[in-house]
Amino acid sequence: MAALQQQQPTLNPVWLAQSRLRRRKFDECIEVCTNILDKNPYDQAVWYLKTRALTLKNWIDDLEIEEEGVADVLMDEHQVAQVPRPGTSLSRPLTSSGGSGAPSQAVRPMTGSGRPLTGFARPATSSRPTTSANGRVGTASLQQALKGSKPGTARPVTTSGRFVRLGTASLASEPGGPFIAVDRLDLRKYAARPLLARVLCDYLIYTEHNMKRALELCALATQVSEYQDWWWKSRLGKCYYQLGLLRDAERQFKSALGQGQSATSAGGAALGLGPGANGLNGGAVMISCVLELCKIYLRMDQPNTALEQYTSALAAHPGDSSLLLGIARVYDALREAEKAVSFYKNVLFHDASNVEAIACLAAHHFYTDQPEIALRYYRRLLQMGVTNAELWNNLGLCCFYASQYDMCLGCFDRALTLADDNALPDIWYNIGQTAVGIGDLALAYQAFKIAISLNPNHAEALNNLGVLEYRKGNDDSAAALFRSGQREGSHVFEVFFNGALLAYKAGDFQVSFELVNQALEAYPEHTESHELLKQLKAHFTML
Amino acid sequence: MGSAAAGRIWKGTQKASEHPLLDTPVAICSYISENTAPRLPALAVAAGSHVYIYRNLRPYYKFVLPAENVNTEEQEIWQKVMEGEMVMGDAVAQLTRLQDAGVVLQTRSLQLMNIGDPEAKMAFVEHWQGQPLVATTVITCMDTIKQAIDEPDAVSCLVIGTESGRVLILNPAGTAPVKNIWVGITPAMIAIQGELDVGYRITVAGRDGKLYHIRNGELQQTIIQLEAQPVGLVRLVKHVAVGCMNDVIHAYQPNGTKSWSIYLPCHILAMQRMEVTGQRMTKALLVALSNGEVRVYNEKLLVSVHTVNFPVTALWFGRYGREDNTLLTITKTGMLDIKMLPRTANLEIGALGGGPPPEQEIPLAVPKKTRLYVEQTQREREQAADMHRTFQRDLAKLRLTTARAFVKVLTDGQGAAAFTTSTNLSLSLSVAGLGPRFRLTLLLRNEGARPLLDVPVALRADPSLYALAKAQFTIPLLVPGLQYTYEVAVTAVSPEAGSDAVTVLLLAPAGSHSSAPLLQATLKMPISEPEDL
Repeated sequence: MAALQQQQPTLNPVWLAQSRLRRRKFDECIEVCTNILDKNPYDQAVWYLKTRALTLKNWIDDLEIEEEGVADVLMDEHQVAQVPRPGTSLSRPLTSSGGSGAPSQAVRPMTGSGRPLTGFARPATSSRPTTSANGRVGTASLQQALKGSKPGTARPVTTSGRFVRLGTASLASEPGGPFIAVDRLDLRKYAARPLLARVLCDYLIYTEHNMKRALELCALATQVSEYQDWWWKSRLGKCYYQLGLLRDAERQFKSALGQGQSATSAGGAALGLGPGANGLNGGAVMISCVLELCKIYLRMDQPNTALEQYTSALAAHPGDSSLLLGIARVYDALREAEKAVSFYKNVLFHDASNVEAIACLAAHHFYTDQPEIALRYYRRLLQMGVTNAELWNNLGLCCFYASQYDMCLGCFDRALTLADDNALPDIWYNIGQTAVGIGDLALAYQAFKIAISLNPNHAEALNNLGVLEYRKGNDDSAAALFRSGQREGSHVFEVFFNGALLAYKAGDFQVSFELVNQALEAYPEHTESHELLKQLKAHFTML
Repeated sequence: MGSAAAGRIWKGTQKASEHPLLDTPVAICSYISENTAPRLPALAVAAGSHVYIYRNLRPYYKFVLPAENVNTEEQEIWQKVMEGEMVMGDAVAQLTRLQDAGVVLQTRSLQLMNIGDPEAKMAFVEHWQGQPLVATTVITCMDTIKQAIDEPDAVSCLVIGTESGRVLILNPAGTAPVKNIWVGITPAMIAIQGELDVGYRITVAGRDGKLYHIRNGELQQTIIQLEAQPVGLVRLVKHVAVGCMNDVIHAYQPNGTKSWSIYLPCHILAMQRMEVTGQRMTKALLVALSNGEVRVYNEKLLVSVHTVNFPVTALWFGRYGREDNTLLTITKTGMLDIKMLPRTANLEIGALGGGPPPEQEIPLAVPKKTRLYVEQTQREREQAADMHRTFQRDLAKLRLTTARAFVKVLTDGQGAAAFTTSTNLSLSLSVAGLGPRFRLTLLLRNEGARPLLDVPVALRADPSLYALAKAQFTIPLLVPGLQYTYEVAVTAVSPEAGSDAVTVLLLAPAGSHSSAPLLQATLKMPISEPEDL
């Protein structure tokens, strides 16, 4: 050890930086590079290393759909059809649960965007999935749009705005200001040097989040490469996407895919050194391009086109779990549960430890009345080392419904100890559900009250508390709870139906009629709502 | 009929002639009025209190409804007023007395009573000077009845329903009524069966939602009370079918007993009789529904369905040109649709099949019981006692945890919603905005029985982070059961410095012996956007 320490000063610092970059010790690498650059600011190799280290440090996987901003939701102009046909749009999935194998809405709860709850929470699952304006978007939903997906949070103004903030935050943490003065760069000069241009491009995208400059650089570099380089096109597409120009982005990715395919067939993409990090072989790049292209199609609410893209990419890369997962997600969102399940199973065949696939399969089995199988899947997750409040909560529910009572409450106990503020309301809500299941209404009442105090927007808890109040005979407070539930969740048909039933019993037919119509809007096949509507209509037409 | 009150005759798609009318038409019928050959039909158009009869595309005769009887006392009052024998005040008082006694006054009397200004009253009487008080009435519906034999080109008579609650049967020429039947309620629709000289039944759907029957000129005692207002009335072979606003068609026998009902999926827009001539003499029922369907029922059997794209307003089935069986459909958009019945059409068998619905054959997707389930049940059976004990122990623990958390909610107010048990108040906080300017919304509800007066509210936040528009205010009154909304502007002073929580305290009203706050709720503020972005 001592010998090593003596030798260290003699180590070539550039080599050291390189080694540290390879070992992903980015901070140390940046430190070494900064020292060298202080002495010689024009050392291109070191500049390359530092840029790369900074980029990798701030790297985020942007293949998932991120949360949309207020402006993206309200000022959406990428909509294809005002009233899409069922099955062709994420906002208008197949209505009937019959045939598709999906459990009905009465069994499987909905998210705020009016889609069935998935087994795995991704950024897009709880919020509005696409740009297509369905019935919920309009002036009435301005409030909804401003509301964040989590209680007490606000949505970002725009997605790109948020990235800009991320960029400024990452720059503010750097001592001595930003490493590269982006506005003063002569991009034309960089564009002529392919390797430097690539690291600079990634730096602009991932560290600075300066999409406009990155776009300029990409455009120049594409020109220099005579429109033959798919890498630049895919980066161009990424820039366009983040600027919200979905159609342009689509064109670039499509073009990149066409070129990429020819490059791969011509013996592999030569740019192994390409700083794209995922660009080691043509295959991986192709997948990332397909994934980004499909992300655009999903944003534009064209799930069937996305499915086509995924499927054609699968022909080139059979068994790729990210593509399979993409297909499964789209089917899930379209409420074609049987197909989704078969693809999730396919994912597990190729990648037996895929958390998302396991969680989604577990959720599917739970909601199709096979909690004992769901329990198996969740146990597998536990064995894989996933420990979080949500998992314990789900285990508790599975144990309860599979009548393994001795383990059920222990799971909830663990969930409570592990939970943070976001998960707690849901856990208390589920405890309340369990309490209703064993008939302990006092416990249920307390649990629902706790859930509401932690998250006043918890429409389901408000609904169940309202039912409990109604059973106690407190019709007024039940009606008040239903009303606040209706304000919070337009996707929860139960609140509307219960409110309608209460109003009907109180003889307030007009209110009941309005509420039951809203319930049917949220769940068009609800039989009880139809019955109530029929009774109301009979009352209205009766002489 | 055009909206400008004109009758238009179309031949093919060409307009053949146009006849201006004086009033908006309410009903139109074509019938054979003379027994001489060639038997050309006459066209009767009912408008206002007249029936205009056209022959050979030329106006032929105008029938005016006979005047109704006017109450003699009312007539006397008017006579006296016009001759100046009675002062205006007395006349109005007399008219009012008559009205209170249940006499249905004429429009002229009602108008006089409604005029407030005495001078205008005088002018009104002057306007009618010399004209005797007559009761005019208007036609509400019209149909035809065959006179002696039931053949397509037999001589028929017009049957008219009037606003005054009468049904008139005219002679074939349409010059004078041969029957005048008092129903007592305004007929809205009429359906006729039989021949005038042989024996007939007229079913009248009244404005009061009841069906009245007239048999050979006599109003029957049987009155059918419908459960909803009728929208269509059609005579079938043995029945009268009435469609109601509650989407049901009932069929009644002549003696008033109900034979069957058809429950429809949506509103009825129009109903019409479908009298098929040719090899099969079928009398079916045509129903246009609000979902665009036009259905054909033979008795209660659905024999045909077709869909029209727009809401149908009127249907007619009969002879058109050389085709005996033609269905004319008029939609709300003004479209006229002509459909001809194929000679091979079978109106005897159901189009959509009777019997059980197809869903009955599809088994429910009940998941199979897995081996895992059986094993678990086995375990449950073997270790029932242990499981129960563990569950009860855990349940007791959970109850304790829950009770603790609940008490914490009641006392601490750590969340964004809070309730108390002593005063029955509930408070929920929400925040809107992106920053640095936020709007904090307080939703307050008094769930107790007594109103609360002068409740002070205090807001607390880190002054280095947030500037509150008002740090405290007083709510003058909290009525039980109402939702109160208060808004407070909150500005993030330095958005870069991070975010914190805002606490809202509801203090005990002045004069109460406790100084502890009634309620406390805390809201975590979102991270603020920078000011200049």
